[in-house]
Amino acid sequence: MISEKLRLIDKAKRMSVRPGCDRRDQEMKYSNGRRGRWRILSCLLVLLCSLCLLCSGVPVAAQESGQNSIRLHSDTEGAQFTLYQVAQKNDDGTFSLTKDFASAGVEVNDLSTDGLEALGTTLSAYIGKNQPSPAAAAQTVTDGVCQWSDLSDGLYLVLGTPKAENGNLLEFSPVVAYLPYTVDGQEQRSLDTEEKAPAEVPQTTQYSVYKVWKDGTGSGRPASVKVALVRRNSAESSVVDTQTLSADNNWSYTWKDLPQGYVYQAVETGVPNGYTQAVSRDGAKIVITNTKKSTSVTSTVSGKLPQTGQLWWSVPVLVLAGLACLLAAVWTKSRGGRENTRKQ
Amino acid sequence: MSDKKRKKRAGWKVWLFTGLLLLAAALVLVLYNVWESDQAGKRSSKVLSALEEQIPDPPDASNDGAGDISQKDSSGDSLLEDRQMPTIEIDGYRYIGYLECASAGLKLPVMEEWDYKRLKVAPCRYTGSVYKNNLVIAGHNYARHFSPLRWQKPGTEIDFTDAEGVRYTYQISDIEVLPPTDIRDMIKDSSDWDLTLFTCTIGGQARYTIRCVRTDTEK
Repeated sequence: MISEKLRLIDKAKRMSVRPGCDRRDQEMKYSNGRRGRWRILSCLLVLLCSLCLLCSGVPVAAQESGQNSIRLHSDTEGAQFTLYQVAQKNDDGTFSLTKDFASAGVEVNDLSTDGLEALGTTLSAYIGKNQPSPAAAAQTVTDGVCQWSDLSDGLYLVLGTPKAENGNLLEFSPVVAYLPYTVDGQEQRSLDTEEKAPAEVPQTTQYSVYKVWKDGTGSGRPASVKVALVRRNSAESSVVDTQTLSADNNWSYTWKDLPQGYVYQAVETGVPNGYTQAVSRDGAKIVITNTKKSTSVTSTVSGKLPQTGQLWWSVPVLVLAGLACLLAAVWTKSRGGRENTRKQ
Repeated sequence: MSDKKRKKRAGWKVWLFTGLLLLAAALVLVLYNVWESDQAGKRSSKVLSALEEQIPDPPDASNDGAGDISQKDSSGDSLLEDRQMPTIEIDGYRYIGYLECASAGLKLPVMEEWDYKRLKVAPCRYTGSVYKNNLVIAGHNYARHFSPLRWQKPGTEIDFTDAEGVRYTYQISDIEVLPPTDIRDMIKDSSDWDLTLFTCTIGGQARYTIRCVRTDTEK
């Protein structure tokens, strides 16, 4: 009986809680309904915005194209940097050279670290020779920063002007950057990059240029190419000399007795048709590599190695055959003699 | 006497004549080979003299210009390893330098590229570059070309001097015989050798292949 009473009390308690639960359920249903309405409204707004954009005929990316910026951090206060737009971005995501850099003959779609480094070295020499218009006015490092904004999508080169300091000339490494870029799948339009510490220009009076061909068999290779020696310092940039490289001088040349206090670079005056050029430099060695576009490397591993032997194998054969014939002659003669004797 | 019997009696003369003819042919062939080998030796000696005159002294590393220092040794320099080997032109042919094997008494010029006409004058570069440590040189087995190399043993020193006067020192590390169709093995890049020389075996059916490692620098 007692247990029956307790069960009834417990049931009554549970019953008394229920009305509260129903109220909460009703509140949740109400708030869910409000959220649903907001969601519908948001979707309608997004649709409306998309429609507006479609009607305007301007893609989203292009609208943001002019919103790129580059911030260059440098420890060299007072150093001057100039920004050049080397290539513009195409609709398919590739880059093509701008008008000012069209004759540079460089590969702008190799975005690897090595590719961008080679591009920087090549273009800094090209700029020294051709002096194209910069994308924006030169900036001086103030509070450790240089900044360029409102840049369109493309490939940019930041080139530092050599700086004289304590009787030495300091050279800045060129910085190549493309905008926009992607980090973890997110498109970034603002680039923060750091300039390496400038390097002292070597105190040498001789610079050598070497030509390297990467064109397989070399078919279609020009008989010669012209190479310009460019010098730069904090005040000027000019072509000092032009030399012809060919098989006659083993595709290399050494400039001697050059005045010191300049950064020396070499670049081709005209890139051969069907080739790209890449300049690399190590101290006083400058290598200009011409790579044939779409070179298919075919290895010649079929056929035979050259026949580098004289006709010696036939000597013992001839001697043996000759001796065999002589033996046959002796045998034939002796057999003929025996036959004659038998008949007699 | 019947014609048949007369023919039988004269048979031994035919054998004698044929035998002597074959022996004479063997003798002519030997004389021709010796003469051809001698001519090749003379031609390469003449070229070598001209080449040695034109090859400059090795660049001085203490020179002011780093440009000259770079020429001291382009091998192992990643910036210059793709550079074409410099050449010197003599009598219409371009040479990349000369090869020396003191223990075999050989000093031979090496042509930039090969064909059968060139091989009669001097050993020729078959493929590769001294700067990339994959140079392969083909030479005729003339007595004054690559024939004496066949008797060299591993450890023998071989030197190559390029057209800029830079000397590269090697040591024979291995000698193998490859079939004439095994181009892949002949030209393959390997860390086991830096220079390959090859010539025909006596029968001409295979190639004596001499692999050498550089000893003048740490790889």
